[in-house]
Amino acid sequence: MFEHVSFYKTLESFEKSVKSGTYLLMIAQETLFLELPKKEGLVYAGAIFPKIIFKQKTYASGLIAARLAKTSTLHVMDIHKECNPLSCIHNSHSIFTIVDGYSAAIYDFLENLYTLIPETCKLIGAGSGKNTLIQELTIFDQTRFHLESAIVISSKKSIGLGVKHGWKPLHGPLIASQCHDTTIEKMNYKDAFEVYKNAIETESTLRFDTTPFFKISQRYPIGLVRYNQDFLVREPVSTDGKSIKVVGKLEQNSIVCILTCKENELIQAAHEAAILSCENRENETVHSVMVVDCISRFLVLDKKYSQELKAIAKAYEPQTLLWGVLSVGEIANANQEGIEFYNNTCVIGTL
Amino acid sequence: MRHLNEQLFIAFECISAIGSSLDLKIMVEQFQKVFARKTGALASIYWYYDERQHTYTQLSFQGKKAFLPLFKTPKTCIPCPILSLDETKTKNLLHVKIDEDWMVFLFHAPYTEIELIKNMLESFKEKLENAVHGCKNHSELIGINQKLERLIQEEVAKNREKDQHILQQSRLAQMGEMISMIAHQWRQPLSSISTVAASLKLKLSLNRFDYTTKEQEEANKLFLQESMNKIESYVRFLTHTIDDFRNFFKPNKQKESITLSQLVNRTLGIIGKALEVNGITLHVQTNTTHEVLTYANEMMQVILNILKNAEDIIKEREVKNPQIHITLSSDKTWQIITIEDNAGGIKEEILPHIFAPYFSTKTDKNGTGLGLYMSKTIVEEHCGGQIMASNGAYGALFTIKLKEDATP
Repeated sequence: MFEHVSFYKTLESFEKSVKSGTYLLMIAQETLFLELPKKEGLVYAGAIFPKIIFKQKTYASGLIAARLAKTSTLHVMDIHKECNPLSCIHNSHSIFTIVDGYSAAIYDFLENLYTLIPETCKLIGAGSGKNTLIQELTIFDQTRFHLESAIVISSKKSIGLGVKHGWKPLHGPLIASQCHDTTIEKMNYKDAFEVYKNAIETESTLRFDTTPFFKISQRYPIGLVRYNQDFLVREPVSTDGKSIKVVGKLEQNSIVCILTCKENELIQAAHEAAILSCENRENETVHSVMVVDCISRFLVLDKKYSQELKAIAKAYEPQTLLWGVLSVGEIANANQEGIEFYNNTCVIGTL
Repeated sequence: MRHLNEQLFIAFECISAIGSSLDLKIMVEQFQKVFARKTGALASIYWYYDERQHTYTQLSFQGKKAFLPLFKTPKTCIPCPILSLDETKTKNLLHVKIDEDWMVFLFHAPYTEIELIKNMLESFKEKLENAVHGCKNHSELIGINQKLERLIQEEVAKNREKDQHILQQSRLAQMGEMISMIAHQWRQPLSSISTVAASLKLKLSLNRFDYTTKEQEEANKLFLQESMNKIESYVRFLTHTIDDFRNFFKPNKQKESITLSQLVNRTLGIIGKALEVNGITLHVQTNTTHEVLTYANEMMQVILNILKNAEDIIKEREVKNPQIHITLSSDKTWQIITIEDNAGGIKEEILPHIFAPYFSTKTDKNGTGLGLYMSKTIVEEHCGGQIMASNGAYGALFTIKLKEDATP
């Protein structure tokens, strides 16, 4: 998919060192970013993320420039429009996509994209945006910034894919008895926040009166129950004292659990995702490893986060390049049923 | 135990997705989406059976389009196997018959697991069938309603056309009546003009105009002067009458202040002579001199209509000593006109219907049944008043109430 991946501290240094070619840029949110680089022969598209990962280190400032292989194609598109013009994806074996992480249209876009991809095609992706819970212009190409958009890179080379989160049920199962889009209004026919608060305050020493909601919700996401599969994690982001708003849509009457984690289990899950990704790759040689990890996992693990990256790296040869983003939502089609938009999850792509 | 719990949860979510909409496509899509997500189905399709054509058409498809060729259109004569392998022999197709339709799911999972899923689906198949029936019935009802709506619109259009036709007829009848009234009004002045002209002609033929003396010459001049004055006076009357008729037909969009007495007198200027010719005695009693602000021509049309109806029934029933009493009075709120004839009244059973459109008792006399309906519309909707009918001591009694400023 990519020929060469490099890290740059500033956009200027990138502009100076590259000559021509097609690039994917992943920029950390604190990077000084005043104007889009313009250079003859330079084609690029990119997005802003809370942090970037390069060689087992995370950066709040700087950018990763990944030069596309000649067999890869790059598109920037409005996610409200049909994906049908993307004729190139019909013959692709792998796809990398970046979608505006705060857009409400993510699900429709991913559903539409899923219907078009070939049977054996694997997809990895990330939700772009800053760690502020506010939707901003975060996707761009060499011409301008794009709102409610997506970047789709398709390649004829196959990849390995692994998805794991490591969260375990704390309380439940519960019926999300009243839901509206991304808001859970009732759980077990009671106000959702009341049920959520009681469960967490009974099982932990944390108190909602003294601790900000998001500090607690990062540690206690909601998990959607699936038959014979792991939970699909949804992160609560806010409350009005009655309902809970989560990242991602929920169907009414979904069965959910309140999840919790042990730090070592999160790290172990990341390692398992890497092993899974490494094992189900079709190519013998590994060019590099792409990590799409949730920014909430970084905040929960805090100083131990470096251990998660080490655990991922452990699944590969020591010299293997590890790069990626800490994102606002992770995207993958780990199975054949559809493209999922995950939260608090670790997605590993073996390129 | 965990497995059983999971099955229960999945069943609950799938059952919750059944009947989420009365639109069959939306309902089926929602169910397919939830069921596929929960059970790991790779794709699913819903084949809708067309009873008229005896063929299956694809109503909805969920999943990668790449899987679409694996779903074969069902045949009406051969029932689909519940479980079968696809062409590549790597995936399983689970067929579920819903009424005459088929829902098919594609799985890539061990046979035992698909067997479990099949059993789960069988457990709520009846509910799914009921929901599908509900959607189809709803769609049929919508179709019937739309057809009914279309029929109603067509009938309303036909009725409007009929109304136009009847109104046209009514106008022609009204004009015919007007011509008859003009004839009555003009008969006397024309006959007088004729008399004056005949006497002049006779005198001329008999050489009665003697100019031999100055006195005789003066007398002849005086005679001619008087005759010309008479003719002029009759012509003025004729002109005045024709102006009255013309004004009556002129559309009047401006309200004017007018007393009830003036309204009645103007109306009698049109119909009075006709009533007189038919030997009907008119009694007008005026107890009010207040003015009302109203559409005078339209109110005259109402009074004229009631008087004409009275005239018709008096003639029909051959009433002896026929009379019409018009009383003009007022109370705190209203200026009131009552018109009562002595033709025996309106039958009690038809009294509640006389203001209804197309209601007429004049079946043999070109009655349109619109006169009183239009009178009620004019008084109540246009002039902000009231019109009522009842039976008085001797005949039909019509009461028209108008406010001084008759704003509707």
